[in-house]
Amino acid sequence: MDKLFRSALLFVILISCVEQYEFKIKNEEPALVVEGYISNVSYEASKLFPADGRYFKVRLSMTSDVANVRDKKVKHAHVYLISSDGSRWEYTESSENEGEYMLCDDNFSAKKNILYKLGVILDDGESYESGWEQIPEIVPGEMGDIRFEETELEKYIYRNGEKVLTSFKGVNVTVDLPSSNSGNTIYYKWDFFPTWIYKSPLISIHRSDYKCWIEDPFYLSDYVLQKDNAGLYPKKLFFLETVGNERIYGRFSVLIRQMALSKGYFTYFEEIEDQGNRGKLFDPPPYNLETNLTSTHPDKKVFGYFGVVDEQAKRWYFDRLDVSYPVENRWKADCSLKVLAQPPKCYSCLSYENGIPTNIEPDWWEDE
Amino acid sequence: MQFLCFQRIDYKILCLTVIIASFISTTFADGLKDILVDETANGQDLIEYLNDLENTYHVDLIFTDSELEAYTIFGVGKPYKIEEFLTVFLNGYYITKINNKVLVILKKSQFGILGSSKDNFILLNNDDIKTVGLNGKIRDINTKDPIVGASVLIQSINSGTLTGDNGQFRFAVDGTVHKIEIRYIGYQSSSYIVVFSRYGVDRAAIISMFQSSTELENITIRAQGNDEIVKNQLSGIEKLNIETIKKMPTFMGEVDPIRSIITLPGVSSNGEVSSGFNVRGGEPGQNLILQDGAVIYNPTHLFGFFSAFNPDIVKNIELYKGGGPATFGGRAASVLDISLKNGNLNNHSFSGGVGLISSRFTVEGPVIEKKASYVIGGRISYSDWLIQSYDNIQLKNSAANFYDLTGKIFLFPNENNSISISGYYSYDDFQLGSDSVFSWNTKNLSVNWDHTYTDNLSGKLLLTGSNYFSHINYDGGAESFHYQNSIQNLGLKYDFLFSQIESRIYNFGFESTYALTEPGVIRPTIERGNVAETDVGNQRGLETAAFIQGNFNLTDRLGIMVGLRYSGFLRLGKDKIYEFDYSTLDGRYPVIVDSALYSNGEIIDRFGGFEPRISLRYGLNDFTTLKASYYRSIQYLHLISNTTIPSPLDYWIASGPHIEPTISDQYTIGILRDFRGTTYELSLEGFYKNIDNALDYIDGADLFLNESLEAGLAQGKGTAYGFEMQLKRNEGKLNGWLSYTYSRSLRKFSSEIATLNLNSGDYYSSGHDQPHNLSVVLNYQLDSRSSFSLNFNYKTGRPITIPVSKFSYGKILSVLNYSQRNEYRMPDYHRLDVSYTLKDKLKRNKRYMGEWVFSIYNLYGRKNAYSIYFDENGMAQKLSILGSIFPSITYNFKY
Repeated sequence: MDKLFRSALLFVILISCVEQYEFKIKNEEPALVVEGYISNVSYEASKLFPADGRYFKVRLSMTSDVANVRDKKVKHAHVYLISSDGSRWEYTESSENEGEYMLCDDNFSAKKNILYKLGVILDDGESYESGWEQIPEIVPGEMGDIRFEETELEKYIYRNGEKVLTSFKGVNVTVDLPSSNSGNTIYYKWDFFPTWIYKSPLISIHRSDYKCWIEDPFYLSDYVLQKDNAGLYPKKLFFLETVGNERIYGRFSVLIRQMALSKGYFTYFEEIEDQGNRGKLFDPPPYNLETNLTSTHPDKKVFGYFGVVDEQAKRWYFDRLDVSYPVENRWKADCSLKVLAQPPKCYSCLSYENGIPTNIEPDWWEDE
Repeated sequence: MQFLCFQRIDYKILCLTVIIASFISTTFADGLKDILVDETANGQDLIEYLNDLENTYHVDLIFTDSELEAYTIFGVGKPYKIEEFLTVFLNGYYITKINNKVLVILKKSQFGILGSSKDNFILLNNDDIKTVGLNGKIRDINTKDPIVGASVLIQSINSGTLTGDNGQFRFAVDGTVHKIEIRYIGYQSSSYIVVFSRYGVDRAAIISMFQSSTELENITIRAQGNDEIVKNQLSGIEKLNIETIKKMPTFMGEVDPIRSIITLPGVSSNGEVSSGFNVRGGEPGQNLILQDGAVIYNPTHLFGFFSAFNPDIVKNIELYKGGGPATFGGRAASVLDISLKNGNLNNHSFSGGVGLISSRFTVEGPVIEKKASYVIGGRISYSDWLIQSYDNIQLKNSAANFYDLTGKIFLFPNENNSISISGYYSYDDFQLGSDSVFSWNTKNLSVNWDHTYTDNLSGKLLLTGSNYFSHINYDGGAESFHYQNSIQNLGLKYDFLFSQIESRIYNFGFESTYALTEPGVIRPTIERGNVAETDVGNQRGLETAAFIQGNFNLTDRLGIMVGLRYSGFLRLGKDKIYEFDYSTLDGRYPVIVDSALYSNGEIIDRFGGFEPRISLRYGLNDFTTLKASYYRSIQYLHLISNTTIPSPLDYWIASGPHIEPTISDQYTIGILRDFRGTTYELSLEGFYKNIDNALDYIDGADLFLNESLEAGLAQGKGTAYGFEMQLKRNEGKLNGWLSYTYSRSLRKFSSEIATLNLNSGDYYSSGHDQPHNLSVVLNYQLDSRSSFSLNFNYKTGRPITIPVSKFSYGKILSVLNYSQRNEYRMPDYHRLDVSYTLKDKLKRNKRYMGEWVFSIYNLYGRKNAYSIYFDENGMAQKLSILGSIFPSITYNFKY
């Protein structure tokens, strides 16, 4: 009874009962979303990062209801790129990935002082165009070194219902920003493409599925932005947990892509990031992102951004032995737990579940 | 023998007898006791006979000539005393001997039973036979304290007024007989018959009122004196006495002035509990909230569950919807003027209440009997025991506390001077399932010196200081920080009141306020923390105003209030002012191209303007009054909110090079009518408000700790209009009111500069646009000890901007597209509260009074939305803070 009584009171004071609520949206017509960029690095040049190489892509989709999980991809569109010097390139619809269009030109790259515009014509005849974009006038010098330093990250976690300040060992990975003395702002964006090795501990090392290279688009998936006027300082890119992080038990690598964006493109990503930080009681009022795309039909909405950027990349390797303290490789220990059956990955690296495994070694992979 | 008589249409009263110098009474008889009417009177004209007696015996026999014209004396055998004779001879009249010199003959039908007892008469001296001033004072029978704001009505001249700071009132009347009626909530209404005579001694009527409980009578609930609604010249004034507020259902047993005014037409709040209120489409920061003259910046406690005002010390609440009288200024939407009571000058007493999560205690009494008094009261919450004892992780990490202390010293050295010093301190904090502790505190002091220069001229000096600080403390390892914003002000005001006669009152004076605002500063709280120190520069402003206002009753039916205020504002250094280039945007913000440093006291910018106010009333008849008004008010300080709901992060800034003052022009027209006497009152009022330089944030504005915060703001037009209706029942066991408001509050920000062109330049709903608002407040007096109250509120849901679609972009799974600004609405809000109050047995002269208050808040447990926010995937989360039925019990006491 006492508990019931206290419960009733508490309900008022704090509980602040939170429940899902659904608004009735007024006839919100799906609108086109355009995502794509071009840079000064062609397909061929991108292999030298080193990486697999990538063509410039444009992804087309339609906006969906808030409750939907997947966006509807846009097929059979006509996508093209034109430049201020009168050139024109056509994108080819991908047969593998729905809604993806590729500029299949091994040597195409955006040139400085040339303006580019992306055009999209849907199969219902609606057409859309970006504004004229170009590589920023001021681009950074050569991409700086990637470094790391050991650190401990302190975070509160709840353990058995108690809030505990817990320390996580790891490294902060930084990039040195080159000097920039033009007085103009450089709008940096970095994103990360990790690859790591996993070896199945319970099978012969001679088997083809003993060793795999794992990629995971959702690991280190945050991008990092920075406005810079001076350079010559290390910019923190991400924190990589060491102890207990199975991704670094073998060799770990990240392709760190650095882009210099236009101010508008930078703002676009900045505001996406801002949106992702919402969901709290005292949120600032929401707002829509600004697109550089327009429809020829004034009533048709369009979202997304087409960017023309300066691009560089560096590949960074990391090994658990690189840190000053021991980091135990627990692959085997984790596959020796006294449980009914060990997970499949213990017997085949191709069954690795925290990423996309392949047992074909990438051309660019460097063993230690 | 000659008579000087004063005649009025129906009356011809012998008011003064002038004795011819040569006439000398041979009997030297003096006084009524000597008068014997014998058989010699038979056959004489009654009026002539009475006039003879007055001259002979030096007495004053007060009667209406026209009523006695037809009488000739007959049938007198043995001698009678004069009052015996008249009682027998004039059957339809009350014959009342006031004293040995004055006797009143009143027709029984004129004032009813009131005329039957000499206790009901007030005899005043009158040398001037034409127009006399009916002066008086109302005070408490026990404490002898003046009663401020009591309504005084004289039906015969169709006029009413409210008592002033010293309980005084003044009417211009003729020297006839008048019935005066006095009402004040919490006190027994009373009526007296005022007569004037040269044999009267007193020049002013001192009228004592009994508290209702002392007199064992039911309290009559009025939100305002019922005569006042018809008589008051100010359109859009709402007065609530604390006793009225106490009759409303309570939350956790404590009465709440803010929640009470929200039941009035044209007033609403943003949410379930809110840190403020909205008046006629205005924002919370556009309300000037004064407690004994000092500004209160945050009128709530405990996240809005309680109001900041101690109900045991609050005496009166006046809300002016619009600029109010010319003496007030500086806010665009309303003035809430709260006055604290003075401590008892004669006896020590205490009062308070004990509740489940908070208690309060007030003590008062004389320091020097009849000369100086004190009152001090405090409230404290102790909700943590509940929170901490509950086995819930989130609640373990939660807390909410408040306390406040209110005190007042009242000095009454003589009839012409009174000085009061009021102090207020309050502290709040809360922590809701996070590591951030939000807190705020207020420190106020006001000194008020009332001085009466002459019978007609009085002055009031007001010195005030207000400090409001809001903090966030975050304890999160390397990210730990302390954040603070604040506003402080110092004010000086002198206010003269000149009342030529009751029908012509002038109010004039000046005021000056210096304000220092701190928009925000953040500092790491641990060494080598990750939080960078940021300090948005303090802002300084000096607002000065002169004002004059005249209240004129041109005729019995036509009254006019004309006021003019001139206010000026200086934005002062020290400060750093940026120059923005809106043609080049950095994201959404204009690029900073230059900055200028101003030294201490240097004038950065100046503004000023006239603020005219006019209010007219015209009485169509005794029951119906038409009213119209126009108010202009200018606001130089602005409350900036960059969150979807009011929060402690909101801060004040001053007008300056980038932010113009907000100017509000409000027009109203209304009709007021009494039905069935004054039992029912119906008030209908329409308003239209135009706001220039309304403020709103630009899309994507980051106003938190931003040194160029002005660049995140846009200024545009605001429009609000609406219709307000209130039906009140003032009397009877069942009383209360029903308020309904239909209103809109819109904004339009169109600019050639894209970033300042909000919502495509189209009109959109302001955050306070809630078209329908209905409040029902009912009280039912079950018997002398117990009463039942009900409060129902319905309002349209608040406007909100919501995600209407989404898309994925790169690795980002969900980028949200939002609707037009404030295009959608949160669910409608409605709630029913009830309460039952049981008082201790009432006994005359018993000093201890106690009462139990049983209340149920949100009777049908509706989960009203306090806020709706969206997760990163755009899913709406509705937060209901008081989302269930909540019973509470409180014991209130008074000694």
